[in-house]
Amino acid sequence: MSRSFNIVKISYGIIKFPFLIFAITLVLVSITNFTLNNIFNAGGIMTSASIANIIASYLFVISAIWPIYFYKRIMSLGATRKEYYSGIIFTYVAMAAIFSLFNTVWIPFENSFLSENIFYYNIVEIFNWDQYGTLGSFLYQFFAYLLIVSFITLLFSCFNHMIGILLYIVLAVGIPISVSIGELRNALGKGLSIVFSNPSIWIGLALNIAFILIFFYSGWWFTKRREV
Amino acid sequence: MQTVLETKNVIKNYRKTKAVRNLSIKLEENTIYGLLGRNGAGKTTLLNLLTGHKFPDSGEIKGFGKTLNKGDSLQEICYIKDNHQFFEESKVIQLLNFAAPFYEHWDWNFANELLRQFELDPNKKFKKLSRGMKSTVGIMIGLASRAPITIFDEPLLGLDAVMREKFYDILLKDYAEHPRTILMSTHLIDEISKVVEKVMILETGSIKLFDDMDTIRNKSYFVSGKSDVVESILKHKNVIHKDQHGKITIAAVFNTMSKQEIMEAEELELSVEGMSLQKFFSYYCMGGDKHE
Repeated sequence: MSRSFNIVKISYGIIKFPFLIFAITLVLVSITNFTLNNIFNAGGIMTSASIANIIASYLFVISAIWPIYFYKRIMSLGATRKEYYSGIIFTYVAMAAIFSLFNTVWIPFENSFLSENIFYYNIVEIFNWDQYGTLGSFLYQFFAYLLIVSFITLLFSCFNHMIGILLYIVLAVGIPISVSIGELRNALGKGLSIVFSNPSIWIGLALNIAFILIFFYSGWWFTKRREV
Repeated sequence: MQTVLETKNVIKNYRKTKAVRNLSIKLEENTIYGLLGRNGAGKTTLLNLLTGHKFPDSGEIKGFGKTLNKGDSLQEICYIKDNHQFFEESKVIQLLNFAAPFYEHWDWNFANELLRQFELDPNKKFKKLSRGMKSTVGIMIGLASRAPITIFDEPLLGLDAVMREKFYDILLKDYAEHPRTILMSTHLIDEISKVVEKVMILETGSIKLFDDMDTIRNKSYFVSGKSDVVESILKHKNVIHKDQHGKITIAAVFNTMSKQEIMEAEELELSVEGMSLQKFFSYYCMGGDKHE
């Protein structure tokens, strides 16, 4: 277990500098936007994605990069596949918790101090995750982030396996078809809203957890068969 | 001695290329092995298979008696690859910090001593290091890990002669105090002959020779003198190479020669000299070519 936690520690060591650059850039861009809007506000209210949500997108970038960049390097340092995989899951869990907490705290701040001339879209409000209060909002976000991360990890862990390539083909063909045909589009939307925006928090979370387990297990299946 | 790593009939192909052919070897505890072979002989593939970085198409690999299945790798192995796939942006000291918890017997005092001995700046980023210095980082991790099985693939690439000598000295000193199994592939054949106890020669994916270094040393000779005399005295010997210059023949022999036989040869005005491992390897791999 301590060897897997070492991977969390290494992840933090590798992530922190690029994240700092990313966060500082984002804050600078946001401050510039905010200032310019206050000075030259001519046409009313502008819209923008919430800063906390943009910051959380870093988690998705990491889950795409880690299976490609991190895997070979961590194996070269002495980790086993099992340690690598459990280590990255611990990393994702920690990051998902931090970003969910940050967004939960950020929303009242954003609404109170930053939304005078800019309307911020926040994922919590879009999916109505705040219907069960602060804890509910945190849980919805946490599991939704993990669900997306587990899916991305699966996609980037399977690229050198025959079944993985089949999965890419299915997705590459399936996504455009399901978006272009009206009935399929409706079914897809309905399915996604059952998973991500379920009015029952328990059913929603249970579905999230089920998919997270399936995706992480599938990712492990491919990792076990992946050569260094 | 206990077998720590074993392969049985292992085969590995890359499309049409047969990288490893039906290979069966046993590595014992507390022994230093040298893995030799020409480019493309399958050395790196073999090391990747032993460490679980690549999977065999068929056959079995066992570590400490336990069969390694697809995806398994031994925690007791430290494998330092020749291409050093470490985090380029990290400092040397960070890399050591990253690696240390993966090895149960990691020795920080020794790691710091190695930093000093190899004159490596711990705060320098890995990407800023020269080829030789990058090799040194790999060597440091390999040595300080004190892993029961340490595997180096071309550990001395880019290192100058002084640093290489330093490596051999440190390796031998540390091995004497902390015996373990070390497997090292290299092209610096003469240099490692001072260090290794057993030699494996790999050729087109198969083991061509697996023997004690001392046995090879005691069995490899140059016999030179008049061609007809050389021919007659070596009639029943394993001559692996012959060079003929006019009436003089220089023969490379891989066979035991008793003191009596050597004395007889010298009485017939033949010269009998020991052969370096490098020469032995070259002639042995050429497979008995004659140059006239």
